[in-house]
Amino acid sequence: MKSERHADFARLIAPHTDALFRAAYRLTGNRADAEDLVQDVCVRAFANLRALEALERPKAWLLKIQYRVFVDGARRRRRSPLRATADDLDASCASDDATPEEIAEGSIAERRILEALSRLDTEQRALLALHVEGYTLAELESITDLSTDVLKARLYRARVRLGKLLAEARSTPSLAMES
Amino acid sequence: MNCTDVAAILDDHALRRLSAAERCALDEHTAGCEPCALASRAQAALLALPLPAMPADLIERALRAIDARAPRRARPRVIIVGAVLAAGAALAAVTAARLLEMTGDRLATAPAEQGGTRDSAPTQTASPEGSAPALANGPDRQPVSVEDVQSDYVMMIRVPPEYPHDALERKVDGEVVVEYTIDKRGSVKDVRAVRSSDPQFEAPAIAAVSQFKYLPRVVAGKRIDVHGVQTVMRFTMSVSPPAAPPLATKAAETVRQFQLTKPPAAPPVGPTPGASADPSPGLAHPADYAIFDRSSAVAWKRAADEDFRGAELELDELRASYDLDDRQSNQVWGFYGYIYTQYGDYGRAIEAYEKAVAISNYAWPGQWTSLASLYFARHQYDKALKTLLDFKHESKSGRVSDEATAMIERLRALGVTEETL
Repeated sequence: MKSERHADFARLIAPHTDALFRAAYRLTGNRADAEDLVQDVCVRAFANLRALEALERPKAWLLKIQYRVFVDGARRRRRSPLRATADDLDASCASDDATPEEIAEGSIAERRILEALSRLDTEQRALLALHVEGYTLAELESITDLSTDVLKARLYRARVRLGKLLAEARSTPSLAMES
Repeated sequence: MNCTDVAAILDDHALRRLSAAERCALDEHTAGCEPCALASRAQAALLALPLPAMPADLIERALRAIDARAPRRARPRVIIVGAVLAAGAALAAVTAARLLEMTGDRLATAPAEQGGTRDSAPTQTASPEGSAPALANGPDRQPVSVEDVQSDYVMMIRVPPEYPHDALERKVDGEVVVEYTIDKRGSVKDVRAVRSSDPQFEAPAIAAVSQFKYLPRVVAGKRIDVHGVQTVMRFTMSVSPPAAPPLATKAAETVRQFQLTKPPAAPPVGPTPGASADPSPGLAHPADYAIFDRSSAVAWKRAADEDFRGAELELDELRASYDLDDRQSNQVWGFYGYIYTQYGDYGRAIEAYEKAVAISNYAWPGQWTSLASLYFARHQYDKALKTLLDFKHESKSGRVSDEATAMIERLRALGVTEETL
């Protein structure tokens, strides 16, 4: 019976794990925390399996849970993206035909973005991470329970702030290399 | 193009779909507008952020995490609240909340499997008359006690279950969770054992519960069936030693205990030091209980037949003829409150319920919320809130039922809060 529940759960969640993981990575800035976050979401989802099965759009629900878990500061450990392991970068940046220079360049740009993201407010970061995943404002509304007007204003402010942080990082490139 | 247009383009994910002319207009605007320039650069950077591939075994690992974090298997004395929630109906959920609250001090609470929102960490607390010491004391302390941990519904008549003979001989403690319906008359039907520590306890528990009588639940002036009510019946081998009177304190509000009338055959014990020193009334005077129970049964029967005047007379007589102990008084005043509410005589109903909850050790959650509802109905909002806060104060866990929480919220919406009292 237990394994049956497990199978039901795996079947239900499989189509959405990609989106969850992508959003989690943008939220947390590194793979290990992203996996932890997705696992947290899975534990909660499993506890509500029957309710989840009845939902028309489980993905929105799952993302909502993930958003909440993240924004509520449920992250027990915080790892800075600066401490992202080489493993992370290899996995994320290396493409077969990239030159070493390109890889290095990619890593620096990536670290810059992650570093800048990590300096945003939790909520700003969460909003941007979800939005860039391709969600419309209407969808974000249902995930975050914020009104469209509030969302627009916050997204705009978050982008401007992120832009500033990125500009600062570019003017002091050593910051991204410190680790 | 202005800042609003730029924001809209970013919001609508339109950056990559812009026509050449739009692109030009955007560049023109951002060249002279620092915030928009920053915002669009940030958006572009976010889109460019490479994402690692999802680990292939993510689901597998999540399932392992689920297993690892699953509630520990409950010990026999533990109520699994999840099982209560699984009953589904809103009313059942209220009951579940009550069960959790009423038993919180003596449970290793298993996180509700179904109700994922309740994130209770397992807490282990020793019960004063825990089963292990009871077993150790076994031969010395023979009288058998049965506890029932009750739901929100006010029970008028309870019947002690028979301690299974075999369990008695082997000095085995046990617990059964029974689920049933309280019908429009207040009778119990459709009883089934949801869970038990040992199947041998199920039949006696079901037989006893089937004879329980409640005050029928009234919603919008009509009596209704209440499904999915659960009671936990705990069979323990000993009454508590005098050193640890379990019911003298607030524990009494959560667990009611009564003694089986016939103690096991050997050794003959009579009133043990525990029983006689136990301040919990009634244990020492089973005869009084018999009279009280008989009279309650008459009153209940009349109320069930909607002969409220007859029920009231029976209660009057009971009160005039006997010295009632606290538990009995609480029950009688609660019953009066119910009857007067049915009459529509809210003033007297309030008086009666006030007397019932004043005996706070024995007050039922349903009595607190009924009293608060009456105040609410009379627009005495501050008194309603005060009642609910007192309820909270008296409740050992500091939590109140969903019904009470909802009422506190409604009062808050009306501007009545703890601060305004």
